[in-house]
Amino acid sequence: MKITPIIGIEVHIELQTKSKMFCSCSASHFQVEPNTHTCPVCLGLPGALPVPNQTACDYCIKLGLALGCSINRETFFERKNYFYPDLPKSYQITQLQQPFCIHGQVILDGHTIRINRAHMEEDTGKSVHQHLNGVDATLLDYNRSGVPLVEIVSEPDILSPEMAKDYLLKIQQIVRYIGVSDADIEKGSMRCEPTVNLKIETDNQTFYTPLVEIKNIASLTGVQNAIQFEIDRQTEAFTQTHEVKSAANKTTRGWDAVKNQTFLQRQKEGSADYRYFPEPDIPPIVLTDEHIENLKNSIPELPDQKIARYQRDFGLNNYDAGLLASDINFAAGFDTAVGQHPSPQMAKFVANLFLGAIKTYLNESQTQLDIAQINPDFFNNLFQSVTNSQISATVAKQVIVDSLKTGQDPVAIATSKGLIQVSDSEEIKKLAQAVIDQNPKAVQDYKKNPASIGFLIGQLMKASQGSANPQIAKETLEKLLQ
Amino acid sequence: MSSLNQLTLTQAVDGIKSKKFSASELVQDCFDRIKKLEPHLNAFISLDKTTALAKAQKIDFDKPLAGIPIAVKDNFCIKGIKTTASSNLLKNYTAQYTATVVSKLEDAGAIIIGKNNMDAWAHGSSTETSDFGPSKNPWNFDYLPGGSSGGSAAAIAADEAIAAIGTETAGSIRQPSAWCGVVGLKPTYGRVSRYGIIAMASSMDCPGPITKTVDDAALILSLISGHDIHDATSLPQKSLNLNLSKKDLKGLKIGLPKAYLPDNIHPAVKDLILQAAQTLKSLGAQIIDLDVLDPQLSVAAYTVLQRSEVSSNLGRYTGIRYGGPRSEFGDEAVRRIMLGTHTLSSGYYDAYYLQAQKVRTLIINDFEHQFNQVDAIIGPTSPTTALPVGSSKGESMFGEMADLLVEPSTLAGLPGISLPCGFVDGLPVGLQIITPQLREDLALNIAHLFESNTDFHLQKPKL
Amino acid sequence: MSSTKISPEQLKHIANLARLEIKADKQNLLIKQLSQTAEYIDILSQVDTKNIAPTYQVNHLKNVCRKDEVGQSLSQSEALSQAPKTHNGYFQTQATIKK
Repeated sequence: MKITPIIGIEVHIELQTKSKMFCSCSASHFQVEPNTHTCPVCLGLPGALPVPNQTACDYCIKLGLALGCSINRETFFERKNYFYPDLPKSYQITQLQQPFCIHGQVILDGHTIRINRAHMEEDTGKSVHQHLNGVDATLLDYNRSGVPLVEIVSEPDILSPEMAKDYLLKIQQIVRYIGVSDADIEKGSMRCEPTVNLKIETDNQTFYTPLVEIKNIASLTGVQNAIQFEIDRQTEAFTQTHEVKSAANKTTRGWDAVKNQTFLQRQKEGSADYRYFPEPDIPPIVLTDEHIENLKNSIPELPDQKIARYQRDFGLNNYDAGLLASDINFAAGFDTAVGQHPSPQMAKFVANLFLGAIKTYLNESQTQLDIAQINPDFFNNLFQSVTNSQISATVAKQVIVDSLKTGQDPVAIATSKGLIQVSDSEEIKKLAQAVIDQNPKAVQDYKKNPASIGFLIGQLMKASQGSANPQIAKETLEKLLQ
Repeated sequence: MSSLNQLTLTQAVDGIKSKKFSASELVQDCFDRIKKLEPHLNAFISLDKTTALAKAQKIDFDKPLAGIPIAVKDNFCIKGIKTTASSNLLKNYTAQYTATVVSKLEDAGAIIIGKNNMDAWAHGSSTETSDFGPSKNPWNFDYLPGGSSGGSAAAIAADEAIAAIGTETAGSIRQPSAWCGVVGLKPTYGRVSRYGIIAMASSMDCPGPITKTVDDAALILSLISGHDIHDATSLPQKSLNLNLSKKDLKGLKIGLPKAYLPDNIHPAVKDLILQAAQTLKSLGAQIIDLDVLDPQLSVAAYTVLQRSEVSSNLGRYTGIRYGGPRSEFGDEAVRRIMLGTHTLSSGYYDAYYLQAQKVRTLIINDFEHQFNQVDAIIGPTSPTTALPVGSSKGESMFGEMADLLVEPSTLAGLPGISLPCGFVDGLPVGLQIITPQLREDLALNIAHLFESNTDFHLQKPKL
Repeated sequence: MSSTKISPEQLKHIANLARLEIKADKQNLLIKQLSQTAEYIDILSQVDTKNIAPTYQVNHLKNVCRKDEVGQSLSQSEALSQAPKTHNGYFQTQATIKK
């Protein structure tokens, strides 16, 4: 039996606008007192009317463009009618026939995952289930009701749980890059619903298992585990029942992260008739080429483009390029630091500083780079000094962090701290002799095994506070120990 | 000496400004009238006498409607005031914000004296579907005032208020105005903001004035029209200020569709319309026979589209955030929600909803074609005069059938006015004038001239 | 176009979609009335609408949007004031199954 998973994912991105999609209530709802950011519109009071948020629409278009989508010049909203307490109007304003964006793609290591559409819609309120005064109750908070969401629907081109994870990380990265959302899965500003089924080839026949949509996943690991669970469950189910996919047997299952399994949700799929129709309260949107062009131009260089450029222009390897490009702020820091037209050597030098000392510093201090503080001249000076052996690589790592902290030229810092590399052979000879005198056992070790000279070099570097030229240090020690 | 409550809006405005009488006297006079007639008419759901009289004490004379008592249909939300849409489901609902139209009236100095009875949820042409009892026609209490703004039209005909604001989805301003012998104006769709009005059919609902004269309607329109940022379907134009200055109708071509005078229309009604056409002709207009699309098509398309939108708009009434449970919907609301759900449902959407939207295009195109030949279209507002109390009971499509002659203009978003043009057996008959979108000026001018040359508007029911 | 008569099963289905409970004693009348309406509106099926575009917006407006600015919200007490049941700032309703 050959089993090929077929996976498609629906991603909802909560846009980071100031106000909600169809009203001017604040769109922030994380850790806010319940029902304090509501108004007649998002509460669904009698007589209220929706008016779309221009910025949200632009964000949706930008996101679609960043995903390689075509933008529909004419687009409109529709009502999706269903009853649920967290949906105040008993319809969600969304898009169906003519969404903002269609037909994009995401490429992962040469494999293309097609994107069917990216459209605009509004979020529902939040419900909390509690047992109160002897009854099972549902408590409702509408602060989140009406917050703008972009729904991104992929084609079923994903082939494994790992690929699903990579796809989601890519979407997350792109969304963060263009700055339309913080796309945080734990906080709920990025939600993922995979749909899974299997292609099973056995006895020269091909079967497809029924489609299963998985809801209620709250983490990236959860996505992978849930998909894997479904692959296993569907394989087992097929061997038992031989049930194959039909138009009527798509089901929805919820993910239980505690029990690590999916469970059938009581709502029967196929009975949901949403009675979509065009939203009469909102006129259609007609986009000009100019408007779309402006939005396109406002999209920064995206991660894949950066990675390609770093490899092509600076000779960085794929891994390092990927790390530099992973975060837009970090990458902006790097791009600023290398300045215009750096040589590949200079770029590599700066890359190493960023990926090493600077990254460590940022992690330890839990801070973000302040791009305004990045001075390409500083980096250039440092590069020149290291190339000229005035400053050792070790010292360079130290002073660049100091430079970020203080805003001073790193070379000036090195000079003021007396860290300018000592290449003076007399100086080094003095230090080397001192080290030999103070470390008789190490000298013995060296005499037995010349490769162990590293320790003595280390001691000399320490004694010189890292300012000794390590090459000359090595040569001097070897000469003295002959 | 006639009572102050018998004044027109224009007369009342002038009277207050020139201090012939005080706002308090005017408001009190209306409440006296209300007290006397309400047991018969049931035109009001709620009254706010204390607040109204308090406001009348300190008016700002610079405001255009300073001190004028105005009644508002009970589907307009007013913050802090019960707003029921004449439905049991909302009988205890206090609105948390105010409709734009009401804010504009209040900003203009008007005093809202109460909320008018209506067909529940605006579903009807009789006011008989109200969960709080029907309103009665002031011309004969055994007859209905029409609907759904029946309470507003009755209140004006009976001089309980100086002017009223209703809403029309298809006929709900014009038809009760015709049955009650007053002036009712349905503006171009989008001319007046819908924000704060309990929605019936979103693509058709229009708030508008119900008044004693055409001048009054024009004045109200100038104060309530204009772009509203809270209503995405509101036209970008600022408010419409009209000077009704036309002296005659020379050069004007007015169409009278044969289909608007069908065989089953009351012959006396038909005669009055033909006489009205003669009056317009004597004022210089050319009356032209028109071949229009069968109005029955409009009824069918309207029924589908309106009930579909209704089924969606009434989805929010679940009793969780406000109001009672869905079991409190009345029979008419249930009929409409059910039909509308059906016409939008899977397997039926294309044949019903989508087809109706396409037929709507045909109706719009037909009007465009007609308006290439004529400047305005007239006809009877309603095929009958007021019907007796009880007529609407048990009917599956009472409202939509009664509004056959106004539904075409509704679907096309056109402005239309109804004004009295005679009486049959003591009951008023209304003449309707329809013009192209944005041409309220033409409809009002034609109406004004007709009114100036007739005296139907001066006749009042004996109460 | 299929028959315009509404069946009892259809009535049940529609009522379920609309979250309306139709009492047994009202069912037959409602079926009759809905069927009557369905029959009337069936004249639409006789109209040739080939190549006719549907009308969704009758006053030709386009691109009506608002700026992304925060305005006034209702207070929590205003928002909750009309609800039959609330609890600690939340609206309360009877438990629902998870979506």
